[in-house]
Amino acid sequence: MSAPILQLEGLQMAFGELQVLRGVDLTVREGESVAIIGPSGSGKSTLLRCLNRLETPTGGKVTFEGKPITESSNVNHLRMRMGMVFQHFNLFPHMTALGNVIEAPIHVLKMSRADAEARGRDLLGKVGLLEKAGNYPRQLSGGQKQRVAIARCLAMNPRLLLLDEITSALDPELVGEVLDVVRDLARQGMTMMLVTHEMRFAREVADRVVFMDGGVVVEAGPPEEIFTRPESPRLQKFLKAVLEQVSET
Amino acid sequence: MNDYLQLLQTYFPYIAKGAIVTLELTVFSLIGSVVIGLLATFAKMSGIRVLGYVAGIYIELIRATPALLQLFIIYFGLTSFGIRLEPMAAAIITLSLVGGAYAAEIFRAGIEAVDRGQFEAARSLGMSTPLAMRRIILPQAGVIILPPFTNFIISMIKDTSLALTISVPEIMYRSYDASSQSYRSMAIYSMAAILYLAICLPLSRFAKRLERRRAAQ
Ligand SMILES: Nc1ncnc2c1ncn2[C@@H]1O[C@H](COP(=O)(O)OP(=O)(O)O)[C@@H](O)[C@H]1O
Ligand SMILES: [Mg+2]
Repeated sequence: MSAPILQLEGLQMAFGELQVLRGVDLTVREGESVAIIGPSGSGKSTLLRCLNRLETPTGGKVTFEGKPITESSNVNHLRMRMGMVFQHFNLFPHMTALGNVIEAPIHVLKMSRADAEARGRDLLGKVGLLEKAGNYPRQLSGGQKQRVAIARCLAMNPRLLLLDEITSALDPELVGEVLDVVRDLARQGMTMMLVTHEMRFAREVADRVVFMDGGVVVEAGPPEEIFTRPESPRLQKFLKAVLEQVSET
Repeated sequence: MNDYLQLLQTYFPYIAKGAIVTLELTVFSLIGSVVIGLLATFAKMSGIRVLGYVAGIYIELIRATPALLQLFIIYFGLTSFGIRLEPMAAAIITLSLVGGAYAAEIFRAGIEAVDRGQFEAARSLGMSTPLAMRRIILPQAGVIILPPFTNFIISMIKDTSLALTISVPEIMYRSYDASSQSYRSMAIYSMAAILYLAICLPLSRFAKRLERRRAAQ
């Protein structure tokens, strides 16, 4: 078994009175892909945002690469090693696809423009968008935008990738092309935490599935167990509801 | 008609020279406004309490008093502290202070109009706040504020006419002067109107076009 890269112990997060995370325990090992599922409002996004400190946890302990993230003297350094892809892409609209990908390598990693561009093209090629390098985000489809966002993230060479419902803002016919990219990354051994509503995909790609509800991890385990032999009533209810939704559409 | 042409010949060159002074006042006051406006904006957003307060008080004081009063305080009032400013300098300082307060509001609104996700994406890539501001937020805010900022320039041009009261020889001062010499107010002030329109109308057209283009996107 590979070494743990991320460990959460009793992670808590409150927005004022509202306690969103009520003590989350979780370990992610190197090369592992962990899918997080759960009803809307259960704190999945908040969990990911706490990990790269877009939110500051109000309690508990998170250790990343052996160091507590709250003590990490430089939050920018933490974020360089932990990439995040958002539901709404958040591409920089005033830059081309390639411009988006090379921005942080040039200005944060201080890479030379030539090196950054070579690597940027390489990454755009990997997500199948080399011919779109010179296009602006508004000229791209949702699926293409999200693939650029993934390439932009990979350009920083992160050790851990956080993906928050990256296909839920996409038209159904564009979901596949983005999931293909994620599947490839998983195969290449990228460590990932992905929040997703695509149960079939979670089942196929994840090494482990974590079911969250009410700000805690209710059940976690290998996909076969979670999806075929759910133990807790809450997970059973959730899976039933999701399956009904799928069969309706 | 002949008579009007004659008046034109006599007074138009004199008043038109005032347009150069008006434009000088405008340009220098705009530069001052942008510098002060940016400082006030960053002070407010810095998260440093004291700076935020100071900027807030400055903006409120300026917005709650007439510009003419501020001009008189700077030109006449400061003399009691032994500070005697040239009329041109007093006008530029006043207009910069006034403009700075309004520009700060425009800048803040522009920055706040940039989607929050842009800042988060930049920060999640390891960018520091100043870097994210400079590379990601400000360029987008710049496009957003272009129409209101153009309108701000137009108000600034019109506000320079306040400098008439402290004898800066801009358009209004010279028109007033010419009208009291010739006793032909309507004819003289219509020349002033033509000059202001010639400067302001193209700008306001430009602002309208920018707004339309943004709405179309
Ligand atoms: N910045 C915030 N301020 C206040 N409440 C928030 C904030 N972010 C999220 N929440 C609340 O936290 C709860 C969990 O949200 P979220 O983590 O987005 O859930 P999920 O991603 O599982 O749908 C929700 O009730 C939401 O309203
Ligand atoms: Mg969410």
